[in-house]
Amino acid sequence: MTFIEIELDDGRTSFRPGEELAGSVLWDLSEGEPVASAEVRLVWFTRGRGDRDSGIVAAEELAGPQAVDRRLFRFTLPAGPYSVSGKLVSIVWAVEVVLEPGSRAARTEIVVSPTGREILLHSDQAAEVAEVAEAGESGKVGEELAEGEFWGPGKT
Amino acid sequence: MERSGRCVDALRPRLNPFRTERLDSLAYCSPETGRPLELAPLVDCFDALGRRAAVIGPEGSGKTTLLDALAPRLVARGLEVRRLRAAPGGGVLRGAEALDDPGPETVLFVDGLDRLPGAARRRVRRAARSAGGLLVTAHRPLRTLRVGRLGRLGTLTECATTPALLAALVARLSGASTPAAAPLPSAEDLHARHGGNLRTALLELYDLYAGR
Repeated sequence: MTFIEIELDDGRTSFRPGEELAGSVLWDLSEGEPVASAEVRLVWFTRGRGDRDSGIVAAEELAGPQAVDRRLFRFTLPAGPYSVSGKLVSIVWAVEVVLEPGSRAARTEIVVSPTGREILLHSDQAAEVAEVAEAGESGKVGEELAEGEFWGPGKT
Repeated sequence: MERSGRCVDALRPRLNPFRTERLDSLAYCSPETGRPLELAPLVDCFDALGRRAAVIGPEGSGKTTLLDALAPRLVARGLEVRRLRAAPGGGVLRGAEALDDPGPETVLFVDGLDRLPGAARRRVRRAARSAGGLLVTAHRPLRTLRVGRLGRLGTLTECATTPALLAALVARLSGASTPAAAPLPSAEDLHARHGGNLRTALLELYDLYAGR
C-alpha cells in the first residue's frame, strides 16, 4: 500500500495568526523508490483568475526519512496573509510534505484568519460559507456533484 | 452547453471550476472529439522532422498546452527540454538563459516565436544550431514571418478549436454545476464571440461563476 498523509492535531483546520500548528506526516512508500529526503512546509498560494503566486513561509527538513515513516511537525503561523477570497483571487494556506526523489507529495489546506474563518470580500459569497463547512473536504473538483453538495476545498 | 444542474452561488476563486490552475492542467484535446489526444504520433512526427518544427495556431488554440504535454514525453526519451516564451504582448523573452550552450540532447521550446523582437529571434537561431531540437509556436506559418532560416521549419501540427471542443472542456471543468448569475451560454455562441479563443472563452465562464 502506498500513501502519504498529513494529520493535524485535533483535526483542526482553522487557525488564527500567531497560533501554533502541529501535526504529523506519515507515509508508506515501501513499494517505490527509496526516500532520499523529506520536507514539511507551511505554504500559501493564490487560486483564481490570472497568474498564480505562492510562498513557502516555513519548512522543516525531516532527517533520515525511511520508506515507511511518521514524523511530527510544528509551525508558528505568521501574522499574515489571511485566508481570503475576493472575486479574482483567493489566498489559500496549506501544509504540504514533499518526498524526493519524484516530488511525491501531499497537501492539507487550512484557514488562517483572525476569525478562524476565511474572509470573504463580497456579500454574495457569504451564502457559501455554511455550505462549504457542511460539505467539508469532499475533494470533488471537476466531478459531478450530488444534490446538496458543493465544491469543497478538497484536493486539486 | 445548457444543462440542468444545481445552481451555485457566486463562487470563491479557489472553488471556481474555471480558475487558472485548472485551465493550465487541461490535457491537449482533439478539436473534433474533445477527448485527450494520443501524443505518441506527434512525438514520432517530431522525430521525423529532425526534431525541428513549429506548432501553428491562433490565440487560445492550445499551442502552449500542447508544448506542456509534449515536454515530458521528450524527457522520457532522455532529452532535456528547455522552455522559453515571449512575454504576453510581445517583447522581452522569458527564460532566455535557456538559450545558453544547448547541447545535442537539448530541445528548445520557444513559445511565441512571432512575438519576439528581431534580436531575440536571432539569438534563438544561433542557439538552435547546437541544440538537438527546436520546437516553436507561432500564430501563422513561419514562411510568412521574417524569421530567416527558421521559416523553413516544418509544421508539426496546426492547432484549431471548435464549439464541440469547447463544450467538452466546459463539461469536464464544471461538472454538473451551473452559475447563479446567468445561464451558461451555448458553446456555439461562446466560441463565436471569442473567435475560437478557448482561454478567453473559459475565462468568461470564470466570471460567470464568480458573479462578476
